[in-house]
Amino acid sequence: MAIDTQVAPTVATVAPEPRGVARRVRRATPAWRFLALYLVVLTVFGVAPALYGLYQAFIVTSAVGGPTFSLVQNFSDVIGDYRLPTASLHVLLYLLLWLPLELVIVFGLALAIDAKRTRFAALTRFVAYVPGAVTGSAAALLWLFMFSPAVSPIGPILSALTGKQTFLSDQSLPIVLAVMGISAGAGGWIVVLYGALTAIPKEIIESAVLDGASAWQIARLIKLPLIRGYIVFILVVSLAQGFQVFVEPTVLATGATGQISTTWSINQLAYSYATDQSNYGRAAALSILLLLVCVGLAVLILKKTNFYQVGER
Amino acid sequence: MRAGMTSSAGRNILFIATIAFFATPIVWLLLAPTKSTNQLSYLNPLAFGSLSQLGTTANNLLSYQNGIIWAWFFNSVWYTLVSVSIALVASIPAGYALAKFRFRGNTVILFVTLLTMIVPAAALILPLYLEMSAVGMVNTPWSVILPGTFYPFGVYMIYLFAKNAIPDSIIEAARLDGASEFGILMRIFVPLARPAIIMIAFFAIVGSWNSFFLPFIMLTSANLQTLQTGLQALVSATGALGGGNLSNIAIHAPEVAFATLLSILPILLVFLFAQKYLAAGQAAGAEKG
Amino acid sequence: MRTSKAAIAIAIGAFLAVGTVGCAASSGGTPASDPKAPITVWVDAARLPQAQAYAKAHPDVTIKIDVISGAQNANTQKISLAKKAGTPLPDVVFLGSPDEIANLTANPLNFPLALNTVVPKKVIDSFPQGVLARCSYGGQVYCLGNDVGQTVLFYNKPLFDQWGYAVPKTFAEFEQLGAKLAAEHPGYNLGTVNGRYGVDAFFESSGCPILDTTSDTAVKINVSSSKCTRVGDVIGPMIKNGSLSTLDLFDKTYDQQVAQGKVVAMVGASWIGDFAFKPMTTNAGTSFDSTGKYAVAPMPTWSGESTNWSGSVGGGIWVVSRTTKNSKAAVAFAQDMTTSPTIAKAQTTYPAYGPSADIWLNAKATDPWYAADPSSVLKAAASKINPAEGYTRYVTQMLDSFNNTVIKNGATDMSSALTQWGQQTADAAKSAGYTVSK
Repeated sequence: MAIDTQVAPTVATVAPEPRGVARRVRRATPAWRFLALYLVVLTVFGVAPALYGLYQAFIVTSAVGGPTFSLVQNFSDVIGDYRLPTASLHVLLYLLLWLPLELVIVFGLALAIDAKRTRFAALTRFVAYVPGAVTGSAAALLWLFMFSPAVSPIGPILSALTGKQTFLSDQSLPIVLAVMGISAGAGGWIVVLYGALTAIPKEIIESAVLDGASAWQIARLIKLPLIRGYIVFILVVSLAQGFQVFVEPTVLATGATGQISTTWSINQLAYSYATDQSNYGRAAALSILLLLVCVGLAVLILKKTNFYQVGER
Repeated sequence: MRAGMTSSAGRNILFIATIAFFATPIVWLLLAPTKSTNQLSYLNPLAFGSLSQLGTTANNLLSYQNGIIWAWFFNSVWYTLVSVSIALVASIPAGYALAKFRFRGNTVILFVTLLTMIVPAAALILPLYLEMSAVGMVNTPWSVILPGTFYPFGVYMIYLFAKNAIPDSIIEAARLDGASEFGILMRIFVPLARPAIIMIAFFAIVGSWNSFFLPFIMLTSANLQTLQTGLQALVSATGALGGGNLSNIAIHAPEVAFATLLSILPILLVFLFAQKYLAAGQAAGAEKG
Repeated sequence: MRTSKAAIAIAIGAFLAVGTVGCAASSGGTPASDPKAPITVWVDAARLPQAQAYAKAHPDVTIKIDVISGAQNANTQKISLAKKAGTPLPDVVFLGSPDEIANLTANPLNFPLALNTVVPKKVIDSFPQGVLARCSYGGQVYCLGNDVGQTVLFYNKPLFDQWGYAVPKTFAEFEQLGAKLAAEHPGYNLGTVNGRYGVDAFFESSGCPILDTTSDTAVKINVSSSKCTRVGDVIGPMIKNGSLSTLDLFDKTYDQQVAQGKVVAMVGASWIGDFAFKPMTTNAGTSFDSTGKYAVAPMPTWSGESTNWSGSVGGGIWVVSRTTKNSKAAVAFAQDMTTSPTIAKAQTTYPAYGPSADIWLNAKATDPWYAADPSSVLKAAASKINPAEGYTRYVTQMLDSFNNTVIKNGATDMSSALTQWGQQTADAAKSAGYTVSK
């Protein structure tokens, strides 16, 4: 699963050592027993491949002759790649559009669904999840038709927006990708958040209602603070996902040939090194650079939000 | 009272808009197999084609290579079941232990887990392949199943749930009653964490079912393919997407849509089943009882 | 650190393996021409039936057939991983994206066997020169052509007659026709120039050095050559006046224009009639039935040329591994796939092998879909594929860049668009390990 970029929440986040450890159980031996199997798979399928990936970044594949070792060659090659600046700009634009929209939709819907757990709310949650289950060639087919005004169910809207035969263009691409990303990803997070919200003890909500708090006040002042751990979690993971956006532009490039570059995003460029050029060194080098950005941002968010203190009871 | 009514109306409008946004593509997809390739282009996008066309579409897909698609389907099922079972057995105790025990290395494990999770997959293609190849498992089901047992997302979700929703006092009380650590995990934590466990099981099933890249690089034999990789190979050979079908194979856009329905149906069934359990256990209630 | 972790990984993996799989693939030290050695062939889904039929007809050889995705570089990726891991490679591979061979011949794969040493010269010579030239380096031929997408001029004959248009013989006439069409019948077009359709039909037929390989690590790129600028001079104004579409041939919006009979003519591959126009317009429900409408004419000639060169769009190739243990069986298989008369009859697109093409054309000559017998035009075009272009490792990047420059800005400023395209393509070529010269 670690290698898949298909499903929304397959990456998670830092949850470092809590500060208030006084009440935590201080027995270590059972912990290691509980962890044993996970540590095996973590080592074999998580750590070992990642370390080998790191090592690869220093192996240079040359056009003539055997591989050579260099500390900087692959890194300078990918930083100097003419596609990197454009791809970085694309990813930034995408993040700016997609991330706020996705977060607003996810939190808004999760709170609304939780506010009164009706059948209609459950149906909404279900429907919101369904597009996330459509992946691969199916997703390519789906979005190819969705964004071709001539054959799309939302064709009139698309045509009205651009007045052109085709909807896809450099200007509309981040919007299109954001719509795809939300459609495929929001449902999963809504399920996660809904799960977190239902774990809030009923008594807390009931007493707030007795105190005369409105639904909005309860959501903002009680529910959100109680699930703060999840909020930070979703933010960090979504940022990493956004920086590593891969599935949506790839799907679109498959479906709408000739309208979107195959190396539109940074992660696609990394894949291109691995698949188009069999150059795993450069793929690893660019992956590491991308990883550094993601980890840096994650650490920053965790510090700013005092994630360490969340969840102590 | 009036405020309540407006907010409920507002909620319903929000839900209707949400359903319209998320369901439009799906409704189109449901209708697509009832149309021919040309009808997809000239009929109203949300019109129903015909039942006979649906029959043709289904037959074109299901009869391809004597129904090899069922072999792919079955492969997907058993790879997923084995992989997810091991993933859950590994992740649930791990997430619980990381949240509820204090020991040296706790933070290191959590942090390392994070790092391995956000390594871009392009860097992992070669190492995973080399590992599987070193033990002679490439092009066997295990090359897909075993790497799939690494499920850090599940560990983190259990960890967060245990930390947020399960008070330490419950566990302490059980210990005072003389319960074993394993007994506490199985008889107290697991029942309380049922919603979280069902949730991570669901996401694990979806992830494994939809997994493309791992089987794509590991498997070459046609009879070992999963639904995802088998269909992709078929679709790419027939240009059903963004290209001409230069082959004799009757696989076009409607057949791809039909295949999609076939591949998302199990996920939707699992979701409907899981939905009942997603909002259940209340730790506070359990503590009282 | 790394080695210890890797050692742990492998040790644990080995432990898991004991209970799960009995044995790993064995690697025997048999010689390259062991007639008993089984061969593994990789085909795409479309080639599967003919490979199965061959295996059935040759019970003396054990043939394992794997179906590999036809996605760009799927074969390369699998071969590359197997090579790194030291596991057995396939013996014969079908490449639906023939540019992949540029990956296979280069470091670190060095995969293909030079076929001119093992396939009779008579057979090699029966392939159009332009087809095999693309996969030849240093005088060695590394592939056998499966099919070929030589470009010709498709035109709607009744409409040409009705509107009094003459079939253009040169690209200057083609451009004038575009201007006339745009003025008299706006909304109609003379085809598309997006991506590979534009590059292959126009720039390749003109011999523009953009994919001009001189070896598997050296390439000539020079967009300021008159062979490139003369193309820009033709397509620039035509994109601007709308007589050439910038949509992909299979874009849904362009499909609809085809289905409404808006495509008056098109410089396109030999297969666009059968696989683009025909399926888009002959089923019930479309307003325009193309049966009996389109005829094919020879390619127009570029100014300054005496030959009306063709480009080629698509066309698969067969490659044999140099690591095969049973080279005789592997070569025989690849040869049969390209030369068998039975396969030629069932072939959907124009066969590359000359005698097979003749068999195929016999059937095509009487196809009622064409307004006139297309066989002589198609045959002549196959022998005139401009040999200036080769298969490269940067073709995807070149096409991306083409769409981002020439297609996007060509209507307003073709000359700077061309310069940009050349620059980005040269960068891509260098990044893919080529030495670039002008």
